[in-house]
Amino acid sequence: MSVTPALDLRGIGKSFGPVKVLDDVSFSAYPGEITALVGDNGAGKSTLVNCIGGVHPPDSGEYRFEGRRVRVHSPRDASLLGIEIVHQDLALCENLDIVQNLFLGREQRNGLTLDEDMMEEIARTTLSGLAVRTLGSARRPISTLSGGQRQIVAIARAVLLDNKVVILDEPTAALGIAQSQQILEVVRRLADKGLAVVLISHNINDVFAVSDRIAALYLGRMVAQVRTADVTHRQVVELITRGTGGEVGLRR
Amino acid sequence: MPTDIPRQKKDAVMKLADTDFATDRREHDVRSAALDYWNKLKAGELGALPAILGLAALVVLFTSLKPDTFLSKANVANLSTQALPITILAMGLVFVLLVGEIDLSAGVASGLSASVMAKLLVDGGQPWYVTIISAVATGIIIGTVIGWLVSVLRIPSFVVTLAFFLGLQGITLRLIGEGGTVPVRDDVIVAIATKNMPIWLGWALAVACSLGYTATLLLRWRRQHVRGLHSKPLEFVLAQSAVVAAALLISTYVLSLDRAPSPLITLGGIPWGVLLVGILLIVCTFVLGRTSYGRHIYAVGGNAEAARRAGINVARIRISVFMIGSGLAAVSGIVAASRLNSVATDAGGGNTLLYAVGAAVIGGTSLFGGRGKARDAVLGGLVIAIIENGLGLLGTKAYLSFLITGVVLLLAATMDALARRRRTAAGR
Amino acid sequence: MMKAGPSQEDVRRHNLGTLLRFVHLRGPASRATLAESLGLNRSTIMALTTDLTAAGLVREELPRGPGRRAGRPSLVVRPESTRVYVLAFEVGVDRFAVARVGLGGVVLDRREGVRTRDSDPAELLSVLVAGARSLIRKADGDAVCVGAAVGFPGTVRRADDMIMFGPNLDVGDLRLGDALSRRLGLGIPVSVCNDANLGALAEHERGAGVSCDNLIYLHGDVGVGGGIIAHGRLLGGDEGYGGEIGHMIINPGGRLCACGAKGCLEAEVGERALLHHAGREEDPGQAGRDAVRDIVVSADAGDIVSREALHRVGSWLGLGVANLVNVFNPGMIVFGGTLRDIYLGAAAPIRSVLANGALASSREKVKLRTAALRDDTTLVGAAEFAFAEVLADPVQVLARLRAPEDTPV
Repeated sequence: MSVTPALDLRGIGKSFGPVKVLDDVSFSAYPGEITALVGDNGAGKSTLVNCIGGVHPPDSGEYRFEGRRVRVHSPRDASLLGIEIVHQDLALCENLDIVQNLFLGREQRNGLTLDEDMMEEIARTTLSGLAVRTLGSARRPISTLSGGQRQIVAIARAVLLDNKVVILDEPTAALGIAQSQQILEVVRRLADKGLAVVLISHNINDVFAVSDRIAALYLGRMVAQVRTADVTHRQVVELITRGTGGEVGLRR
Repeated sequence: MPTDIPRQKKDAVMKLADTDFATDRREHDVRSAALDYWNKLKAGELGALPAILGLAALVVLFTSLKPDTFLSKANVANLSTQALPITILAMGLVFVLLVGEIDLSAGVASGLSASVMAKLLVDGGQPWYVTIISAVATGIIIGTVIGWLVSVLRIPSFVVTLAFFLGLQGITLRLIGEGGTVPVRDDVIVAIATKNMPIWLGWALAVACSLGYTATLLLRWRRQHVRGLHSKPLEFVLAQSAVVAAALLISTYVLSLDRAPSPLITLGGIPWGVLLVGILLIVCTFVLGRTSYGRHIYAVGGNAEAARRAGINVARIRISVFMIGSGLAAVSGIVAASRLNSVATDAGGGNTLLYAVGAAVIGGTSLFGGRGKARDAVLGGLVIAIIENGLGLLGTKAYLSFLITGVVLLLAATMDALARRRRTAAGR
Repeated sequence: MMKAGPSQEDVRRHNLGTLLRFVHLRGPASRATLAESLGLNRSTIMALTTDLTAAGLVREELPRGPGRRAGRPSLVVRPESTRVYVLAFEVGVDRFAVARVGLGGVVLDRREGVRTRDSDPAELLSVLVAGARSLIRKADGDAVCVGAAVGFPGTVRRADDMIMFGPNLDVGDLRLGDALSRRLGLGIPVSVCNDANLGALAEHERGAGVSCDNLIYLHGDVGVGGGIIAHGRLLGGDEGYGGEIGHMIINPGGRLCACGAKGCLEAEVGERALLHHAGREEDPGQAGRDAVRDIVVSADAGDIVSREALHRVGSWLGLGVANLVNVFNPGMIVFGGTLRDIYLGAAAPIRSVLANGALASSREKVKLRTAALRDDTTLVGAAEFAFAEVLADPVQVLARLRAPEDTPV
């Protein structure tokens, strides 16, 4: 592969006491691509994401970021590298408006005071970059937004700064179909902007709709990391449920 | 060859529709802004509305019951100083309530700080500024300890401050001695709540504040308008500044009238304490609304986990609001001492704290955290002071006073809870 | 008036067009950016900008928005969106839309409505004209309309914009473009184009395929249309009928198509097929698009009939895509109209068939995308088409339109 992966994990192992959760897992995510991370409940998806995000540093293995070996031992390390995780629970402040949430913890200041105008303009640019038409004013409080709209704010928060890798944990799990479609297209747009996107999803159809690569975890092992174009629906389902999917990626 | 087609059954075939295709409604006209406001009210974002309505209702009520005394010049001036300690205490509590905590000890902390001041004045013979600084420092130290216990040890603030409520009363008792009072006779300190500023200065400040407020609003509107940002319609901005300016100027006028009971002397002007509240209001509003520290306070109150993930030091914010809360409580204690010319052992005890919490909540600060403004303390403080004052004028029995104040507090809390339910319901 | 030299004049005209096209497609840009992107020196850019400003096509002003922190902000060249506009028409089987689109691609205003299937083409013409007139009335006083185009679901002869065949929307022998042009009375011709071809153009210039010079756009309405962009140009064939992907036969002896053949892509994945598989009746009151969306929604909610229907349609669509990938080796396939919803609801079977049916070398890099312009692909495409003339020769065209009495049309 000529392109350097933005994120490249090799031989990652992780145990919680006697419980081995990840065993020799390798995983890469490329800039401009969506890598879908699939697997059954308990396959280790969350643990892998927590390793990437520095919440639970891995016990063994190599962590490479843009080709360099790095040490990620805290969420702060990850965010300094430009890795952002959008968790399923979103973590937005309902009492604040969209702009205020986007800039929470990294407010733009003009001396002592907040530069509200600058923040609103950047927020608008970011949101329109995601082709978001349905948010109305950027000054709406989060409490008035729907689930899908909140998801978009959370995603926009992750891409507001110059991030390199965005990890989305089940972004469509709690949404209706129309909203899911919109989120999927927003996710696609993130990758088109050059970010490396990792999409965790249970919905095989969503995975096929937007991803470029599929990484399948089965009982703590990475059983396949393939191009989406090379696999079929059935193979992926088998990878998730049985850990094998015929000769994946070896046909022709 | 195409022929010219007669228009027939046009409406059956098509519905001409203007579709809203804009990303953002930048320009708000009066109608859509009014509609937005109505929707906000319906969704439970009540803001200052209940307090203002309550204020108006109470004024009408007491004026009709006691037409000759309630709105008399002397009583209005008395009312304004009566509201001072509660308002300042409530302003400190707004910070604590904003992060979703409570400080039950703020009242007695104000009493303790005041007694420290009084002891230093009388027994220590210290100049007034040393005693004031010591009193405020006492408050801040108390706040720091509470904040540390709450945010680092994670003891619920309810329990910590209840313990302090009892403990601090003991210290005050020990300082002043049982059943005693310490007189406060320092001219400067006594002046805070009992002396008035020169009439010309009152007018100058009122005009300056009105102009400053209008200019700030207009400049902000212009900036937002030029840059195409979200802004209120100009009519709203003008109306808002007109209302505030009118309120400022009318109260200045009333307070500037000669209210001396005897024609031999003249007594008029705005009490200095009102200026103090004004300054505190401006500073607190600025801190909460225009600084990132203020923004972080709201964030911690709205969703502490989100604030933590955003890299905000939640523990530090929590400690700091308790420091501000108790620090302002100390200021409130000083003003109360100035008004009464003495500090008694029960200073800041009894229902002082509940009045202050009531003031904040009536003003619109939520008990659930994340919602509230510094001005809530002023509006709510006025409401509480009017109730206290009006019932006093009516000569209501003490038991009834307690009952009525309790009901008002409960009413405000109910409104807060219902509004919160509406907000959660409106979200989905 | 004598011209100094035709070649120099041609170069200037070409440069004017290139500059205008740049700000039209990419948005406001500073002179420095323009000089760098167009490979012209600064003084040339200045002269061109001056000419375009004088013609009322662009204006220069301080940049808006974020990013001006330090230093002197440089002026940006911005298209005169509100003063120079085109009319874009979209005629669908059961809906229509008219939009006033400003230079720079801004949809300034729009009217849309529903059309009952099988209604008289004469009514169609009247409502289009009424919509357009109401848009023109709302335009600024000094705004000028520089073109108009119609997106139509049928095959259109390139030479004279004659609608040859509209299997789902019959207009008889009505010459839609000429009739519209005469009724509007703006002194501009109205072009007619195949809707999916316009969609391809739109997605290539403003949508998902901006960076992709070889793309195929598939448009679903009642029927299925297609537009093929090869080397950045629309593939029209000998007479402009090319790109009728909907009538590619993928299932010999399959469902009967409106064109008369059996087993066309359109017959297997079009709205009627999906409704049939899902066991739903065609409801004349409901727009086809909403019916398709309903099926996707119920499939997502777990309805097995709808899921099965989507799976079948998706498999046929995958087969069609596999053929296209093998023949054209496109960099991207864009699904628009109702196919956008179908793709998002049936991506798994589509990808699966593609993975089995297309040559590995061809499918390796192909990207499957949904239309970034959503429901406006045809409309935006029509607008782009209508802008073509003014972009080719900005100053002349505008001069002629601003003073129509001086020039015989």
